[in-house]
Amino acid sequence: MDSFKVLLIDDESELVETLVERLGYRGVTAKYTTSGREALRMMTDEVFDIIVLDLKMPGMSGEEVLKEMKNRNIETPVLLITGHGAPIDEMDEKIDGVADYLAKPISLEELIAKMKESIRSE
Amino acid sequence: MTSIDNDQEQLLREKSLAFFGAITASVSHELNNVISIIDQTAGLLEDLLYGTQQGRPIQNERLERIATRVRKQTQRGVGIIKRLNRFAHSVDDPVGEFELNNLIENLTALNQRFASLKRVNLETHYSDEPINIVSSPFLIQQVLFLCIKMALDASQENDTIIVIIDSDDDGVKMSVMGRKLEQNENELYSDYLDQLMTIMGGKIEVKSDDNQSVFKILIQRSK
Repeated sequence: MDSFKVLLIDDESELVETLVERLGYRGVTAKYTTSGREALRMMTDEVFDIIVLDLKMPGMSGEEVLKEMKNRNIETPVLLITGHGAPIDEMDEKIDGVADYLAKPISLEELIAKMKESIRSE
Repeated sequence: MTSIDNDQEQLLREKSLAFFGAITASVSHELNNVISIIDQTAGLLEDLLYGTQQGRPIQNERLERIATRVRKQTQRGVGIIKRLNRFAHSVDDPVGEFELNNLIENLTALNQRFASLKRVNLETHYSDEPINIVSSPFLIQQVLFLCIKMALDASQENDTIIVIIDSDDDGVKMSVMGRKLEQNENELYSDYLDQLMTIMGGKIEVKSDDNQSVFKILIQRSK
């Protein structure tokens, strides 16, 4: 897999802005939004290979975005980002429709590896 | 403070831990965001440094913007830690003298994340004069937290929840105003809130009209 297109959704704008720039240096085409509703509009307007979605967001939460993606038959794989300090395998909230999970603070290398793996598994 | 029996003490312990846990979990999420931004910004600097080694110079303005971002997030983190520290120390003494506006300012700031996750405005109106009281700072915060939680649970996007702190000859008054509570929402914590108010020698009532519900909390200045 040489290149792919990702949509990052997180209400922490400085985090996603930085991630978009750093992914760009690594040949990944990335766009971002800080709003779940805007994310759904972007997913309707263009095709992404993978969605990276924050679980806890003001207004429309990550879970609500997932639910709405299902309603709209958007089948793009989703990597769910959580603010949990605990390792992912200790999480008690595995959510339907999620390809994989990542805990903040995110390692960029791990993010890229998990994005590639999730796209490959589709 | 009014004494309580073993069952009440057990309930108080469980609910108090739940309150403490809710606040610290929320703060840890927010701190995680701060650390994440600083971590990625450090990574960005490494990327830019690598670029200079490949012949792509960094503009000074770019470095200044990055430094500003790190400083802003550091200040954000310091603010969060200060609030958590003040909150943690509010359990040092079961009863003590404190200034109520300061205590509530800290608590409502810690509650802002819960409100912003629901896109609800949380406004606090403080008394014009300082209110020095002798009471349980931790129990007062717990009462107010539960009232705000019930108001938030009943709220809708873009609602405003208003907290008012005031005092007169009768004692200290705190009000929490929000969207009208349904009967089951109203009953959710009512027994426990009554119990907390009894311990503190105060009282709480909820008044509702067609549109809004108001929690009215009355606490003695010295107990």
